[in-house]
Amino acid sequence: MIKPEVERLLGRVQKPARYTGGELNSVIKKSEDVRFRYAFCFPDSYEIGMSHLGMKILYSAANARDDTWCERVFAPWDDMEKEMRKNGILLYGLESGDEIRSFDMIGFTLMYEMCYTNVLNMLDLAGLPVRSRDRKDLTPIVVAGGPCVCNPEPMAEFIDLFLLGEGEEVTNEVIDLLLYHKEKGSDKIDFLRDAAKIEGVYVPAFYDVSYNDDGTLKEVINRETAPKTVKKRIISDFDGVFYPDKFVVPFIEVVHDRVVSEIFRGCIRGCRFCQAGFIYRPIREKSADTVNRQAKTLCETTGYDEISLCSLSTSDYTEIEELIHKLFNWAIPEKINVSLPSLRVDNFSDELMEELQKVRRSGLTFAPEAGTQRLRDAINKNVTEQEVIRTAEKAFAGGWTAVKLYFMMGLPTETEEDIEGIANLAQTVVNTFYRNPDKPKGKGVTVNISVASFVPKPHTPFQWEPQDTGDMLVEKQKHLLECIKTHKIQVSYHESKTSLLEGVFARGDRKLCDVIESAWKKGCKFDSWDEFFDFEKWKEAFSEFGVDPAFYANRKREFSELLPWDMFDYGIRRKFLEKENIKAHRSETTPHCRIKCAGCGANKLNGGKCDALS
Amino acid sequence: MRSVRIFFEKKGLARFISHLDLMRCFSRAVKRAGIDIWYTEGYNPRPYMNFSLPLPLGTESLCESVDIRTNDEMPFDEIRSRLNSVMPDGIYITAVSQPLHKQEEIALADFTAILYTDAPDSVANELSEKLESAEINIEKKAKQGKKKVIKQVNIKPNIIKYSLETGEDRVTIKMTLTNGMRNNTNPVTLLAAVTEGIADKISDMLITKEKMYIGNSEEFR
Repeated sequence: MIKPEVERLLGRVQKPARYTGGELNSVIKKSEDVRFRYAFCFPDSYEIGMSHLGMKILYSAANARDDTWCERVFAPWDDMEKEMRKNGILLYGLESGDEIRSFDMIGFTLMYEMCYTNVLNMLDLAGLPVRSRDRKDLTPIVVAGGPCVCNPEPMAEFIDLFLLGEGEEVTNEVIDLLLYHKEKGSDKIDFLRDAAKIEGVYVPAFYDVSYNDDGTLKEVINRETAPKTVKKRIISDFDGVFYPDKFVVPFIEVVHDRVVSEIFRGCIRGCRFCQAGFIYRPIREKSADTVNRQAKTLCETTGYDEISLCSLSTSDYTEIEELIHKLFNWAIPEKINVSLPSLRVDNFSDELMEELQKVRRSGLTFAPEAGTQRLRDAINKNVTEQEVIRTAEKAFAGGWTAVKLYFMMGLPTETEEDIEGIANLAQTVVNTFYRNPDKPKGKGVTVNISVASFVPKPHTPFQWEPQDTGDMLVEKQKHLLECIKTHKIQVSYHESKTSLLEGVFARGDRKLCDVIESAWKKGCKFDSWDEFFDFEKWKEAFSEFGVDPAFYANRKREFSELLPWDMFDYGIRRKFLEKENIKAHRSETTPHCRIKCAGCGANKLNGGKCDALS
Repeated sequence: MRSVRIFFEKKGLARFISHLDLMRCFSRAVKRAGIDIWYTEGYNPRPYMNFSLPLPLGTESLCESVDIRTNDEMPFDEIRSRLNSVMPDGIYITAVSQPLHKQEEIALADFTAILYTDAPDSVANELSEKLESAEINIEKKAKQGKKKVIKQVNIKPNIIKYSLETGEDRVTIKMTLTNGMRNNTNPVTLLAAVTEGIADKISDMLITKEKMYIGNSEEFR
């Protein structure tokens, strides 16, 4: 329950329900009944954080322990932050209203690089020093997990320990260990020494990093109990893994306000630009029965009227037709909508299409990612133009009139022709609509193309590639607009300056810690929000420490270079990534994992097991 | 199909649930409660729910109401207890009944406003001076043709009656205001107008809507 002095502020801020707690299914315990207090922090607004599946899972998993109370914490919006600072209110957990600086553990989930300043700001709002070495006490220990942790170096000075890979099991191991040390009265260093022995735990303080004269990484030396390389954690029995039977149901509308059912982790596709496609390997599926049961329970406990299936590529789920059948069986009579994101165009079956007609239809989204076959081959997005057109035909025949196409710009080996290809493909889809004899009368077609700027990411075959500079991207965006001849095609694209920063932090090293701290001190926060993003401040912060963003973003690396994330083992062999990189430059494809195992090595994480091979 | 009127309280932290969020909150609660609610029959069927009047954000109420329709004849008491078992803290169903009046008939409402202050007497003096003045003007957004304009509106006639009471740390205002679809008075705007100039003396304010009446001062049911 929040404190009266906080309640008093709520009349002065926008969307006060962000800060009240008390939502349905939020977990309330008695502080005297638990031995461990855990603040699960999402370094973005309430609306973004409450949409995040990982938080829902780990929040419920920690609260399933009788000895632990896990609470949610989000970045207060600007107006609330001002009120809090003015009135001396420290960051609190939404469930108890207690200050999180008195908790045992503070965990951040690092979903995207642009949230880094928010992590610092939240630590500061909590009344804690932002640097790990300035927090002398054993508790609160500050931990971080999430996809960005596959190269956590830019945040190494701020976080006490990182959790690599999937958190369901390792979180419990860390809680147990910290409880043990807390009750023993250990020093922070004693705990960290033991923690570093847990698989999946990276304690940055135990690694000494040195650089060559050209700024590249020279050597990383592990000290104390820390292993040379840290291996990420995976859940072996995915069908049996903990899944919440309740979601906290927010009062205010959040981005993803529905039941989410995870159907598998990992991906068989191997698109070379896609970090998620590599770092979540090997592929592990849940059975249709399990997914169906979990979805039904969640609908009953939340009252949501929508279920969304969650995975990297819904139609690669081997039991998809069975699952849809099962779900529709009870969901449709109860007026519950089922949405299937990430459907790939190339295996959309007639049966699936027919089933989909039964539910409320929204827009249809495809992701060809690149405009020409040559470039699609280079990025290993094995979709052909014929497949896109065939699917569009089906969709239009089924009554759809709006199609969204996702593309990327700035991909390795990209030429002008590839940019023109984006416009041409969109035009072909428009033409397909008008060729359809049964097209709905009196309705036009809208093809929205969304063009993201490609950012090379660690642990992918493109981790060595230079990112396009802002000028190059602006040039390409201009060229694309010139190629579009009809208002039926709408284009949207990303701000290139944010992409530059994202690229810098994605492949950054520890030299960036100073830059991040300085930018935060200058007032940078919510960097993924246009209304807050201030590139000038970032530029100042970079030049203050003589750090050139282009060194990280726009420089081509050689295979021989030691990369900051080489010490993090995500199961993918480096040689495999190198081979994929070479094949990309030859526009050679690699078949997906169910056609032929490409030998990435990720199955070793799971005792040689991979669901793509079974 | 049967019409059902649900009366509820919205208190404590639930006062920070906005009107739009409240509608979502109710439709989920109805689903969790297993009430066979009637759905609209349009392109996007949704549970039929008709709230009497939006309550300003941050204001408590003891007399909110919403009309729904059920496909079956579930007893009113059962609807009430089922809903109460699934509602978030702060929302409490006080009564479920067959609608007696039309929502459009709502004309008046009682409000209590508690103003916390270290100087109750001087605040009370200022307030009664303001409340007694011939005009209480507030700014209202309006449209003049296609143009958006700010209009001065005198809401003094909307105050049917009021009384002031001072306590050790507070001033309590009880007032009856015009309410309803035609001539609605927002108590938050009214209080902002009458506390202008003394806002720094007021540390906190809590407004509660107590009762709604139809035109002839009969309680809305």
